[in-house]
Amino acid sequence: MIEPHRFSVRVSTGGRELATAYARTHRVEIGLSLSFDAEYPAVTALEQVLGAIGADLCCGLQRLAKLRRLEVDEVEAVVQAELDNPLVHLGVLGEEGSPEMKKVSIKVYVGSLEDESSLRALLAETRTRSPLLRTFEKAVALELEMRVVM
Amino acid sequence: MDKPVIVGAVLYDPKVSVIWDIIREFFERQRVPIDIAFFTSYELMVDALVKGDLDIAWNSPLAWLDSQRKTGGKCRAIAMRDTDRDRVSHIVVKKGSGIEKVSDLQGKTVAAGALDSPQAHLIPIEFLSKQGIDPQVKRFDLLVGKHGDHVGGEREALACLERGEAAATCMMDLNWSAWLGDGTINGNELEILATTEPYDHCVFTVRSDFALEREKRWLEALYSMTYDDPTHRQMMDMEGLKQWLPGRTSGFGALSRAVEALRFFGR
Repeated sequence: MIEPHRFSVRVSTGGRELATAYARTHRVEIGLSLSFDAEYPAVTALEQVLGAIGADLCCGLQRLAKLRRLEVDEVEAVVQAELDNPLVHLGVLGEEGSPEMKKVSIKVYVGSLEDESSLRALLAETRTRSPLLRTFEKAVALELEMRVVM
Repeated sequence: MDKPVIVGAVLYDPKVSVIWDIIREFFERQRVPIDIAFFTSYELMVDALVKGDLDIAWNSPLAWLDSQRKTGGKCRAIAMRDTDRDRVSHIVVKKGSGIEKVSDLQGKTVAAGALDSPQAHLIPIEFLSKQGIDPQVKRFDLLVGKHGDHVGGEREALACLERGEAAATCMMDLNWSAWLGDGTINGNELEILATTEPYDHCVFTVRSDFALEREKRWLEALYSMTYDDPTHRQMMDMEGLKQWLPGRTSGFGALSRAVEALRFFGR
């Protein structure tokens, strides 16, 4: 029997409120779960997740375009999330609900002169093949909107 | 370092937690550590203060009255912002609406903020009532329990006036100024009809059995925050003050009367 492939990162704080994630020969610094401070000096774990979802979509779409011989100059996504109740994360006494994400909205801008129906089919296939999108769409309300930019 | 002083605060907007993080670090640097307990409502926080789960509560004026009510007057008001003193609320009308004096509001609709907002409901409505005016009050009960900290109710009341669904609305002087400044209010269309007597707003509150020595150290740390120090200024700007002042209780008369007249606590 073939063992399933396991993806692995090692995450360590080294005693700080900042984590370093080591993936193969790479490393990335990740801050607290989330922050409401515009000047917080690290990318938060939640923002990294949103970045990862966006990257999954953008890189996935760009790669599929290449495989389908469609010319796509650029793909850009704006990924936003809402929590069920952020005050629960802050430990506010008397608040109810959960700090979980309840909604993720993605706007993806595709720079291409290809016809829109081909690009929409490309997006649909990307979505089907995307490990993060497929996971999150089961867990949260996920809105995905595409705009073609000439 | 001393045992942390437990300070309670009501939090309605997660962004406000950033201010408290900065304040907590400030006290830590003064070697007077504080732990902060956030509450969803003033009622819960006052109960925690009364039970002894908190050392200090950052009380709204209504929560101050509630603390006194629940302890039989055994709380102390120990500090407040300069901007908490001598606030007023305005009764605002549309220019040219024919409402030129307070008595013109008799029988008319007056928009107000949340039920428990001292500044946008309790004090201004009692102010009208004291002058024999008994308007239809159209209240906007947004986030009741936060004592009007969330300006949503006040803003909705303003919108109600602008839509012509009320003859007047009530708002705190600071909001009148801020909304004129940022264009929320068109100064060519709205004007102040009347202004309440001055009242005081938030106040750090302790029970009478809070150790005086701990209170003294805590207040010394608080008063060491100065607007002249650039490292303190950001924190003070965020909290909306230029100077911390001793708490006083002489500015809660208007609210006490309002609470009595409107039977707020017995509702």
